[in-house]
Amino acid sequence: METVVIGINFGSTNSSIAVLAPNGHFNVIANADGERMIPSAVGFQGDEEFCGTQALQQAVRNPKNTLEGFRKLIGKKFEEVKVPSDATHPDMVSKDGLPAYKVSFKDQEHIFTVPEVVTKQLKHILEEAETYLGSKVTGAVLAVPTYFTEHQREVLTSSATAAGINVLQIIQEPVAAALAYNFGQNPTKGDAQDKTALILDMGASSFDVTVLSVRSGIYTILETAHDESLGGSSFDDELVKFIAAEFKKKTKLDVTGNKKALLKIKTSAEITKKNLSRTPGAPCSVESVAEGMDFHATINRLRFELMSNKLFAKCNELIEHILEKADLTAGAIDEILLVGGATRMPKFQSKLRDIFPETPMRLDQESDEAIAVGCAAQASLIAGFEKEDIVASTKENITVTPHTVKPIGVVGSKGEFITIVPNHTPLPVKRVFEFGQAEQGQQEVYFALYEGEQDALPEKKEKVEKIDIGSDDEDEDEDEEDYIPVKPTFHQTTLLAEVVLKDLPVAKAGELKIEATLQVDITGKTTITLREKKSGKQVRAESA
Amino acid sequence: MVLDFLLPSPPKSWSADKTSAFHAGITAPTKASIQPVGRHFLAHARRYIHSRTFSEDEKVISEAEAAAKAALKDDDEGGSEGDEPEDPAMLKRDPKDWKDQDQYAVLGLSKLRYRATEDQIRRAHRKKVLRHHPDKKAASGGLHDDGFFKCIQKAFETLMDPVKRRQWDSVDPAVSDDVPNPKSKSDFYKLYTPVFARESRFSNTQPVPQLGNAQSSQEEVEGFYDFWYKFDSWRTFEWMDKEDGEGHDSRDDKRYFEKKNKAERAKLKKEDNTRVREIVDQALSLDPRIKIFKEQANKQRNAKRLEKEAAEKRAIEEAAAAKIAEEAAAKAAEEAEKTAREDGKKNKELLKRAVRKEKKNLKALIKDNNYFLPAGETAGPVEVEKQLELLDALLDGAKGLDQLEAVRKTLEDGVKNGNIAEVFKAEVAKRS
Repeated sequence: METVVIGINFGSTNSSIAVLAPNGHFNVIANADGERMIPSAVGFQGDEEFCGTQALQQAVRNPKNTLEGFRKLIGKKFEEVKVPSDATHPDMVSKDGLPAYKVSFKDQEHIFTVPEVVTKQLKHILEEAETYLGSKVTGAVLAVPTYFTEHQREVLTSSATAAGINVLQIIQEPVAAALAYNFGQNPTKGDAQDKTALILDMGASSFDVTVLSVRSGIYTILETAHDESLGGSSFDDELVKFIAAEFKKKTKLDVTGNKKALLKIKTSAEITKKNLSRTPGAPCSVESVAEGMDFHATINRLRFELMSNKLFAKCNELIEHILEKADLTAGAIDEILLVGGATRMPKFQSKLRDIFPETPMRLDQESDEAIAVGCAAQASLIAGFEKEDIVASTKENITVTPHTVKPIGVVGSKGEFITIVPNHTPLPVKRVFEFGQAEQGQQEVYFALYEGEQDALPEKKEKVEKIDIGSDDEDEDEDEEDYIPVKPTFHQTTLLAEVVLKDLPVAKAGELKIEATLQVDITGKTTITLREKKSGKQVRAESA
Repeated sequence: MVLDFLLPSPPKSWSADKTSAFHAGITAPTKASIQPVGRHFLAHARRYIHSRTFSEDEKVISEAEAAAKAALKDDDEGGSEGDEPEDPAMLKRDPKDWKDQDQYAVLGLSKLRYRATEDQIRRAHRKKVLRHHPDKKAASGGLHDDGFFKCIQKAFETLMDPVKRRQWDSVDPAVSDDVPNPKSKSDFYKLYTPVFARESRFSNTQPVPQLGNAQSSQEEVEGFYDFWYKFDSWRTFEWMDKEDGEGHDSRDDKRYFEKKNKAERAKLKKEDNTRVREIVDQALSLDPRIKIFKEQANKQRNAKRLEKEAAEKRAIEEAAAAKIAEEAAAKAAEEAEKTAREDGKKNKELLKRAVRKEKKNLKALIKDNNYFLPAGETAGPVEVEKQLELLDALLDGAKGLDQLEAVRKTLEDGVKNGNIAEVFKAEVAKRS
């Protein structure tokens, strides 16, 4: 049977599906309603069961029987879950210790556990994909947040299997995003693409920050942090508060206690917020907010930014926090990858510039689809493998590997340290590099390998008005008022090895090219090979 | 990575026999998880599982890639039958009108057409069936639309039955029946070679001689035209039959249609034969080789005639010359005769005169020498008479000047020697 594999981003608010098209691009699949974002929602009304867009459409009328946000409950025990029990949320009960929803369906009370609801949602996603593709889906890769435990992953896998999905692999969301951005995936002999990225994923209901390093195309997560109080819906809430206040001004009606009215406002507010990302002003209209009164207004972007300033500041705090935890300066970040719809907010991006004035910021992927695309990319890579092989290769004996702590490199002609193998590089590693020149008539060359250490981080300075500075490198050449964070610099500390290549042919300076190969295996054993390219003369040295 | 700096010479303290020295290990690495995604991780896992080094792995992978590429290439060459793009209009055809469909295009063989082998048709058919089978369409959520599938089956049936295939090939509208324009300025061979190649398919006798090129021998060219003037075609026009001969209740109807169709077929066949004939006629009239051959034949004929004429002329000339020569010879002979005659007369006279002179001389000689009597004898008149008679007899006996001269000389010698008498006697005895 033909293999058809998809990538599924099963988000807490929205899900999306991507597939590798024959032309080599990734298509994000739209559901039957034409939406590329399929709401993660399940609803019950009368004799019918709804999923996705339809479930959300009836959410305002039927909040008690509409289930949302169940992803974060996956694999949790009932005691662990805070149960918001009120008129706008479905009732939750414990079933065999698992959280479960109590809904009325077909005029009866039904209890669905969280895994069962997840299965319903995933089944819906699978159906949408198969309708679109016109063929059976043979496998899928799913993404989960970094904070998902092994148990949670297992529960998700079994729910997906129950939905008829052959789960090839479960990967981490930021990693999927990096894959979608093709971050550091094209290392060449000349450029290993050793980079460090900051992945900012602001979805509807959480803000995840990840520092990810790539070394020869292999990803290592250095640090993660997430804040569930930050997310697209937090901004919506700010807007809802504002609209409620405005509405009160106009109609003298207080809706703060009116859950139904607030839900209506929130639905419109979300649309307004999205529009504000594109235009400086956006209309907001809510029909019949309360007592038959409508609300119409145009909301200014500046107004919106002002009211959510606190939230933006919190985002930056989280970023600074994670940099500190990872022991990195802002300059050490090579790229910022933006994921999730909320990262499109102009203010969010301009705020980031306070910390990273010049770091390239990438939003070239449809940011809320990046994770699904990354999953599809991974799915297409492993589609041909046997399930056992995939499981075997993701076992700890392979994924947990020694990483270098300090950079290994050589010392340049001006005494500067040139990194060959940076820190956080998973072992074993092989690097090939070339020395451009040799002196005239020189017949022996001397190569010395050092371990380096990062120059001391500068003291954190006091925050300057308007411009938030995370950390700045103090450099003699730099002016104190220059906020541009410089790349971290290193100096050599320990001499690791010396190698001499002898009996070279006599040649003019620059004529001889010497290729050096450095290999470090998992035990730290170092092998150095120096080879003169023209004559093929070489020397190989291995540490004990 | 290319580092732009010089590798220095070893420091002074470096001992000459060493090539390397290790001073310290790297700082103890920390364990961390790498993310199991991306192709570079796959490479890492592969290296780990098969415990390969970097270079070993690179080698294995590049070999595998090369093998895969080669396999893919082989697969491509395995047959491209039926891979042609499908015309959407064709897909929507009503299978009822299958007689009008392009049987080759339906199977994706519109490039090969009558050249398609049975094997190619089979393969193309299988491919099309895999793609258009109604079960497959139903599985992929399509409607139960098996129209095109029926078309495929009909086309396959037609092309696999040799009789039906000939019927279809005979009327295949995609293969042109054109007679090339005789006024066309384009190259004769370019224009007619494909035409004859195309028409060859209808020949009962195979292989069919082809047009050839400017270097073809006269035999070949003549053989070619000979073949095509006797062209035996299997082309048949049954496909165009108006009504199926069967399915008529009435025998009369059936016969009527059969008759009509037969007449129509015969008419078309006749037309087609005329058409082929026209092509061959035209080709023959335009064929540059034929022109060359004609010229050559003409030249040969002319050469023979000229030779003959020349021979005749030469003969006449020779005869004339001979006549002239003869006449000249005759004339010369006549003249010579005349001269000779005239000369003879003169000579005679001279001779006579000389003879007379000699005779006179002899007479004088005899007178002077005592009438050749022996010494001591006196010439009396009797003796004189006798001697003179003897001399006369001698003179008569000695005919011609030469003898006379000889006689004279002998006598003179006799006079000198004093034995004239004997000489004279002998002489007379000898001559008379």
